[in-house]
Amino acid sequence: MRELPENKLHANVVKTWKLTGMLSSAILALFGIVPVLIIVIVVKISPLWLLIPVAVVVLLWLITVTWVPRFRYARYRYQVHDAYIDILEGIIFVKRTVIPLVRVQYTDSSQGPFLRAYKLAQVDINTAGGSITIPGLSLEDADLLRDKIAELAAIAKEEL
Amino acid sequence: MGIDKRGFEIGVEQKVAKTYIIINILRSLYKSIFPMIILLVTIVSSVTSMIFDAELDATIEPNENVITALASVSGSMLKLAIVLGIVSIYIIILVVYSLKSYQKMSYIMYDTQIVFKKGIVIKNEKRVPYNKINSVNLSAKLTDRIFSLMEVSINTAGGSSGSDVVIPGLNQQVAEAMKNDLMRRKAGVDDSSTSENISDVHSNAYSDVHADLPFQAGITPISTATSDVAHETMYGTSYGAAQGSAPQNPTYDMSFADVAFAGMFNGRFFLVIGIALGFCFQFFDDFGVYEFIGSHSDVITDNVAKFGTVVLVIGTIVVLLLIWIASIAHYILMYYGFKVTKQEDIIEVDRGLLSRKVESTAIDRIQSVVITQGPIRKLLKRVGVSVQISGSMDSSADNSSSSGAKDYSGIGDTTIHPFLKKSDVSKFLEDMIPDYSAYADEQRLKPLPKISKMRSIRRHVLFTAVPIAIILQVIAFLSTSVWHWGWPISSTTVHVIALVINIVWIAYMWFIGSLAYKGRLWAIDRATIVARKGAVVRKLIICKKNKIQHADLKQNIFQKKKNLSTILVKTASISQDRLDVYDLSYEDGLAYLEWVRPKS
Repeated sequence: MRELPENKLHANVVKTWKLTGMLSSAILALFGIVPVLIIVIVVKISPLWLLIPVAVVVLLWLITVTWVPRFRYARYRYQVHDAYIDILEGIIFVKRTVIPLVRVQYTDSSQGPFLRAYKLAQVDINTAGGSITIPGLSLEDADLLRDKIAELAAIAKEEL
Repeated sequence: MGIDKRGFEIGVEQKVAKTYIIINILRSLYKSIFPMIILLVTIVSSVTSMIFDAELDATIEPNENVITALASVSGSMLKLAIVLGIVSIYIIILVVYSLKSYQKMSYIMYDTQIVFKKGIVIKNEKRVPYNKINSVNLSAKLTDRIFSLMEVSINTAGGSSGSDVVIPGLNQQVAEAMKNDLMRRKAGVDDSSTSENISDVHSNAYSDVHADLPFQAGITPISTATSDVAHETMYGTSYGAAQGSAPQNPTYDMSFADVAFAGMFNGRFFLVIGIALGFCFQFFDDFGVYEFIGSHSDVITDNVAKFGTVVLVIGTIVVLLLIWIASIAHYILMYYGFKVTKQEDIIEVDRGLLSRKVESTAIDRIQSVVITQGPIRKLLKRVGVSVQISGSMDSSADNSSSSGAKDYSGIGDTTIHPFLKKSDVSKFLEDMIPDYSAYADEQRLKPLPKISKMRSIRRHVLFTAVPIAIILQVIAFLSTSVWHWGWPISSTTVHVIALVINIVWIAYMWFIGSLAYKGRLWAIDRATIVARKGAVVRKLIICKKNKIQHADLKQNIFQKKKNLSTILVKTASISQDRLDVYDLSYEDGLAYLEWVRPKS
């Protein structure tokens, strides 16, 4: 159990995460910067403390767009064994997940617009306890992995 | 039975009881009780105003005002007519609607699934394959009990397969037979080793039951050529016949004293005590303040104020007592005649005074067992036992009622005994769910590493006490120096009082944190994981390895420094009482993952 899972995600997934980060931080920026603009333009005052929300937004932008995707990619590893799936993820909170294949109910692969732009796909592994996602794989890898997990899950037998 | 010419499964369409129409009308009336009251008030007021106007107009100026008086009378008459018209149209619509919805409501029990149809405008058809059934519950509301009807709710595993099916308005015997039938068919379909032979027997028995039911429901049907004693047993117990010959099913019940006791000390008790104590403090505090002001003011007003306060306090205490008594009464109504029975592979809970409830849970759908003990139960050496079932929440459960009746079980939980003797737990589990019986003993559990005690305390103090302390101190500061609230005491005293409250609060949370650490015990056996948690109310959660859907080991940067980790146990249950263990050693966490990992 101490050895890490072997496989990494497709390198392009970092780019899609950056795009997602930009989008989500743009929404956040609306809440941070629009009030500031309103104060400056409508109320016509520009005290120095107004720089604080702007700085926070810029900092969050930097973190979500540059560092988070890179660290996330560096950490993320997965491996499908004969009887279980092993996933390692997280930046500050590192999480190791074991999914026994006996418990897998079905798998599916899907693409959002960003993943599609980079010809990537994600694989969802569904158990009765919830769904676990392997986020960014090349299309062929995603198809292979999805089918492989489904097949292994079909032949997996309960150990007693 | 079987398949017809077109390849469809054959099944007989069954209707619900006709009295359901009346119940439906009654319930709709009850739901619209407030608009009805308003309408009635309008009627009454318009009638009285009509009479009053006529009298008034008749006494003064009879000659000139005849026309206006007549006009006002006819105006009131018009109002009355409109209101009566609306009411009668509403009632007609209600009756027609209830009749129609009764006509459209039916269910069919096929070989492999049950289909329930309803809906006048939007047709609604729900299908549940027998093998997807998790539990079948019977319940009867007060209106149902008048006509001895019951509601059957069929719970399935949650997620994609959707919500539950609730078939209302069945005669009590029909409902009970249906429940037994559903559970039996579920067992029959589930069993992979049995073949058509058995399903033949099932369908025979089934058709027998249904042929007999409307006329002589109380009689044990004779299932043809069945060697399976279990089926006989099931019918035997549920109909109360053949009790001598059938093997005794383990049964536990609660005496009235137990129900009353459990009701007295449910969640509401502490709430009432807390509020009462708060008011007592307020009371003494008020006296102090009045005495302080009293030196300047009139003695009489002072006494009046004192008297007012006394009345207020006594009134509040009486109201609280009434709330408490009401909650006890409610609990007794819910749990009166509590009886839990194990039948083959089903646990059946039967309870309730005015509205009866029968909950049947398939043992193989149990995800984990929770044994709960709060301070009062600890004193009385009792525990509450509940089970977490997979998937969807019990739709017929009293989730809507905020009363204390469900205090020891969350969503997705079924209480199988709310007030069991601690010494009986092992035997109880042995009788009910044998797989779990060996793990009720807390002696076998081990504590967390010593380092995590400080982390537990810090979690409690930092997240609950410190933010409130800061807010309180800021308010104390602002109220004295900026807002000028006009305290009768000096601002330094205000600050000191705030500080004292904060210190006590932080010390209390510190204490709770260390209790929470002491409460945490856990152990992994060959096929079972057990953990206890809770600072004041302790919950022992037992989970089987083959019910774990996936396992997580988490570690944040603070835990990494101290070589600690958190394990998450994810089952198919959506209950909030999760068997997650925080701050165990990293090695133990890895061992947990290793334990869950199937060996190929």
